[in-house]
Amino acid sequence: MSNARPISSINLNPSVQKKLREAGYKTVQDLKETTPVLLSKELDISNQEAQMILQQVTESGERVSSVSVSEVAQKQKFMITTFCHGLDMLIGGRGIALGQITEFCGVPGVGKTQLGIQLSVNVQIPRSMSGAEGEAIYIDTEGSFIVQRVVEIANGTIEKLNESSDGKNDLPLDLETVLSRIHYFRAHDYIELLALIKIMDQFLKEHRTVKLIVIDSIAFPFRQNFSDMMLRTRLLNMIAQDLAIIAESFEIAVVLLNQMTTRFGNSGNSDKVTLVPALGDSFNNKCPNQIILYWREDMRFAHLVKSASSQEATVQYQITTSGIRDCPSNWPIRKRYREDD
Amino acid sequence: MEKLHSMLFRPKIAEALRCSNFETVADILHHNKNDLAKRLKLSGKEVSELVNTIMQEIKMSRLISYPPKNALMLLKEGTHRMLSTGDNQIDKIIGGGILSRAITEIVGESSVGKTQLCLQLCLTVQLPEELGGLNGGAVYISTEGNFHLKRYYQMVSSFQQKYSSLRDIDLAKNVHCVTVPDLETQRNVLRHQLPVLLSRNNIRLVIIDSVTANFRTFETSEFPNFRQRASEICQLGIQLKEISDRFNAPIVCVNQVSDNFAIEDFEECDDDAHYEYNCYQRQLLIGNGTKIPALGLTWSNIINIRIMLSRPKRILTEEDGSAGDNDPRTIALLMAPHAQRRFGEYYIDRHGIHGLVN
Repeated sequence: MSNARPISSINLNPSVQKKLREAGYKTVQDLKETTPVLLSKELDISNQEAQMILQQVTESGERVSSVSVSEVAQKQKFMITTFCHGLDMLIGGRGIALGQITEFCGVPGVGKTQLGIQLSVNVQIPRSMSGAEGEAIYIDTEGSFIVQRVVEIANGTIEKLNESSDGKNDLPLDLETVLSRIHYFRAHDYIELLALIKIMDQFLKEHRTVKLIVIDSIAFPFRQNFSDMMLRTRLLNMIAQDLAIIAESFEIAVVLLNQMTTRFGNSGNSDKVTLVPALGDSFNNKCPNQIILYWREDMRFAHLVKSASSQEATVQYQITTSGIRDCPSNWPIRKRYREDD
Repeated sequence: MEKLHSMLFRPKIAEALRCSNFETVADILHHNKNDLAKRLKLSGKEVSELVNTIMQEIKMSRLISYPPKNALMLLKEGTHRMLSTGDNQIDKIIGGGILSRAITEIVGESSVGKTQLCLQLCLTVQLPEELGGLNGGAVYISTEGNFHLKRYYQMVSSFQQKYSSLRDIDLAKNVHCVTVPDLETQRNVLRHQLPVLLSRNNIRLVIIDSVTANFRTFETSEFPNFRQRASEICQLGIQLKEISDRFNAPIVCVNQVSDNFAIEDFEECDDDAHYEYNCYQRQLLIGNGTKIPALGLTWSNIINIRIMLSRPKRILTEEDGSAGDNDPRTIALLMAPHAQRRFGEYYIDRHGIHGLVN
């Protein structure tokens, strides 16, 4: 295990984290050099608590296994394309990476669900065509997963694959197979969502071929009245952690779709109402990759806000009957692809 | 919330739960598995067993889909049905009809035909499925208690002329009217009465006309509380979606419009402007209008489908002094998970609402 791993990356109670930080502990190595007695004195906690912290650190260390660079490269080979070249470029070259959480935020109607369905279909593209060749899990909290639309998008993908397979091989995918490889869960409130995430590792052990989990949306169940906002924050952090572990240990892409909410008086102008991703900053900080989808006039754009591997940038995309696609180059648009400096 | 003590666990797990202060399913779900193992002093395997039992239990009282269905099963079961408006052209514009298991918003200024469309749906829902209906009744929840009886009976007779199969049915008997004059009543009706009403009668359509009225009080009261309003709206959304799913019935919510003159002057000057709320609202405008759906982004995040009715030429004709009622009006599908944006024109006569064929 990596001893240089920062303590902040370990699943510890925030108050414990704070105490450790204040006592000068930064990495796992620092903690390895101490004893429960010493730690209890330094943090002003009971011996038992100190023992628990050290045990927790050891346990979380056990889950970390080293991987060689070539293994990493191997894993990154399989990505999930969006079928929009610009969007693929934006998020790392060839689409959504496995083993990570990627968050798409956007206003209603901008195409979050369309993207979720597109990815659920495209995750099935065979390896021979550089796809991830996996199955998909779709957790629907909003009721926007309309199977008739899935059929349209699946047919669009099949058609596109047939074009590029130049007829030499058999049909790479057929409609019934594609549909049967999308596992649909419906959760109506946050309790049901928590329950589903809790049993997810068991389901994944029985379905090893799953390569994508879409949650559409993560925000909806958490927008209702939480009398205890601290609890809400804690639950969201727990979900983010659980999903990060699932993504890493099962080598799965986790795609979170998030709503936007209004914020008053940003950037000094008190009359200005701006749009920000829902669920608050502490949750958004947990997602390594974040893309905001937005309208501009009647066109759809995607803006990469943060990413582990790419630079901030904006691209345009469109939604056709067959799904997410690039915009034709002859569209009368001022800036089709633009790098933000 | 489901209580733990009424559930059956293995003695060791039951004992561990008794010794802890976990009382409800939520108490368990609020912790991750490592946490549970530590607090209950159980092994990882035992925690998985605990979670599994809880899953089985909440499956009984809730609609949670576990084990999951795949999309092929959903397709074959016909999970999503379409309720026809009774007019082919209108159906085409709105993506095939009103989707079951979803919230459809019908938004527009007053007297543009929102209630008209709703009354029509109260009739078509009673049609057999092969004629585009859902073979069931409707609940009409009104905030003003003004179910348009006269208009409804007028349409009943023209419907019975059109569909011979409806001739011997009492088309008024299957439409249940409920009045919710204030938010308190609305809350009670939705939480308690509506599920009972739907489970005892064969009801396949719920209409709320309008969803706006009872939330407006938050704006006009002495202390406007937008945070509380937002949470009330979300609560309503969660309830409606559950009802829609449980009874496979479309929910239709009528929404009003409000003026937003600020967007008229709004110009995109800098690159960050697309994060401005007005920039989002601009694409909700039809033609030269300044009307946007009421209840803001909170509500927009809840609905699945948005249908906007408008009368773009209305102001002009009023200035002319001519009656504007026969002018073509615009129907727009602004947002839907299953169809692209579409626009069309329609008119209303004594038989109902009709799309114009171009």
